[in-house]
Amino acid sequence: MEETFSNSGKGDLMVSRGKGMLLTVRNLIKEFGGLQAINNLSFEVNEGEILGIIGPNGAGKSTLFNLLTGVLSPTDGEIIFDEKLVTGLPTHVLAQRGIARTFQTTKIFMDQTVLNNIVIGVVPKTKYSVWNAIMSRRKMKREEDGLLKRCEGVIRFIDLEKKANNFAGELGQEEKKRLAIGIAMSTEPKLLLLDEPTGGINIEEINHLMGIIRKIWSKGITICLIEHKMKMVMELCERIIVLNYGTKIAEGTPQEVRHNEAAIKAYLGEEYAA
Amino acid sequence: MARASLSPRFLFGIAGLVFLIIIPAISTTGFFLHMATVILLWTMLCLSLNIIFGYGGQLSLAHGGLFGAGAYVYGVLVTKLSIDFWLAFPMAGAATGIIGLLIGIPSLRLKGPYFVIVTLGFNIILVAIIRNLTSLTGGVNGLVGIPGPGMIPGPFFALDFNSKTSQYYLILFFLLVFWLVMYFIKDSRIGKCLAAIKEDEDLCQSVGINTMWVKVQTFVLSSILAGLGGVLYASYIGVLTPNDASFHIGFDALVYLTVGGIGSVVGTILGPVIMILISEFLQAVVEIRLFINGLALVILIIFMPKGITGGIAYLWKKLFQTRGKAT
Repeated sequence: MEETFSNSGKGDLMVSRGKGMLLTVRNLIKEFGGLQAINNLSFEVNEGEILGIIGPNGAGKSTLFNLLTGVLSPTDGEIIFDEKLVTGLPTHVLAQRGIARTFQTTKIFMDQTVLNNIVIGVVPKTKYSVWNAIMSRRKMKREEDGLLKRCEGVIRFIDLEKKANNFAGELGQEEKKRLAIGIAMSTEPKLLLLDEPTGGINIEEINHLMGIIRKIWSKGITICLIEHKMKMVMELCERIIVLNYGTKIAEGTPQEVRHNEAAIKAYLGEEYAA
Repeated sequence: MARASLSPRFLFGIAGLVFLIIIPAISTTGFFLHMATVILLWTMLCLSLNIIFGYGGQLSLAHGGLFGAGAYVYGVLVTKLSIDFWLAFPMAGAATGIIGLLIGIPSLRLKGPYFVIVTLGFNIILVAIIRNLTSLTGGVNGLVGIPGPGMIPGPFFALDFNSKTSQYYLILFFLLVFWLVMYFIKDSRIGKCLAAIKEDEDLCQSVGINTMWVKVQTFVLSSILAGLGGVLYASYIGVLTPNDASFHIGFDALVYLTVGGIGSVVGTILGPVIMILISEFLQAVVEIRLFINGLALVILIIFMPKGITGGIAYLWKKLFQTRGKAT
């Protein structure tokens, strides 16, 4: 590990690679009725890192992703992305600003071809109104080649070029996961939020997916990763935060978290902590 | 997609078009031509519903009201203000577009059954307005004496629309334009967005599609087409009652569209053709007509869940599988 550590005001560990902060979450609170799903959560994501977010079921990990992507709006607190306050912005605006995500339940467009799935990710950067569809058909058709080139690039990136014209519903479980990542990548994001990218697939396939996640990271895209498979998180991430009951109970490098008492307690129970 | 210059689909399309064009020549009775005209008008409503429901998955039950609204705006403009058809036609279209916008903005925020019920509610509101604006719409007594399009003067020949035949061609002309619009929507980026929204709206938003904007635009376009269909209906029939804006109209269009094949271009006309013909043939057995009509519908939906066009496509694939794959 080459990163240098420095203590910030609150005593949080920060990794600096000579780049700025991409995402800052400050005192984030989300209440559902009386339940506090996210409770005064603060953390930062540095540009170009892979941050792992772990925690037991119900810790608030997916709620956090929903808050970061505007699916839910926070009860209180601030989210700063790319030096701008983005709290409460709608999902599609955040996506256009560069936050892409995958879903825990592997969302793809099952009734469409792999290629069309990727096309949908590229469309929002173009004009796509009813007016354009009827009035400037020729111009739109001319742009099509450029769009398809971009899509083919993405499909090659996720190793699905042989299945580009297959229907997404026909793909295997791991291929679907890759396609979901491909849809997110087609939006050319700055920050990619991956919600359990390896849920429900076997070890061999996990290695393939991990390779793709590394490839995304090496392109300079910042990644936040929710995962339950500890081995994978420890291998991939430079830094990990541990959530429980909506609060951050530990933060640090994989080595530090592995030996953190609060984290062990949350996962394994009181008796293992000592 | 591959160019389908001489595909069976294209040939069938041409054959169907030729048939539509020669209908006035081969129809021996005025009744046959009237039936054909009515079918074309239903097709317009089906295709406007197809844009928002077939492509975008938003099941609107306000389309009967929008159809009636277009008809009534036209009727009021021509009878009370004596505005010419060619001016009233776009005005009524624009008015229905605005009504569609007012209905669409609140209701498209809702999903699934909630959207269906709210649009149904708006339809009932539209009928109530038509019933109670007695000074303009004539209330339950209806609006009578609505004229059709006047003559278009030309340097060499004049087009007049007095005969049933000329009105048929006028309606066919606009139907072809509407079909083209519908095809353009399907074959464009917004068509892709609509198909994606139909499948998973959350995923669409997460890649940056402004789904609300896409849905509102499409709903407005769909409203305009439904309204223009209503205008042509009013100018053809000449009489309007509040029943012409009833949600039953929207229901019927939905049934026709389902029979024809949701999301299909040809289905928008096949559905009305089949359902209206079945209904007409059963005039002979008035007592059990509705029963048989309903039974036919149930059987069709059970055995062809994707409608007539879906059934034909399935059979075609079974019979000519190797050729099907080549295209």
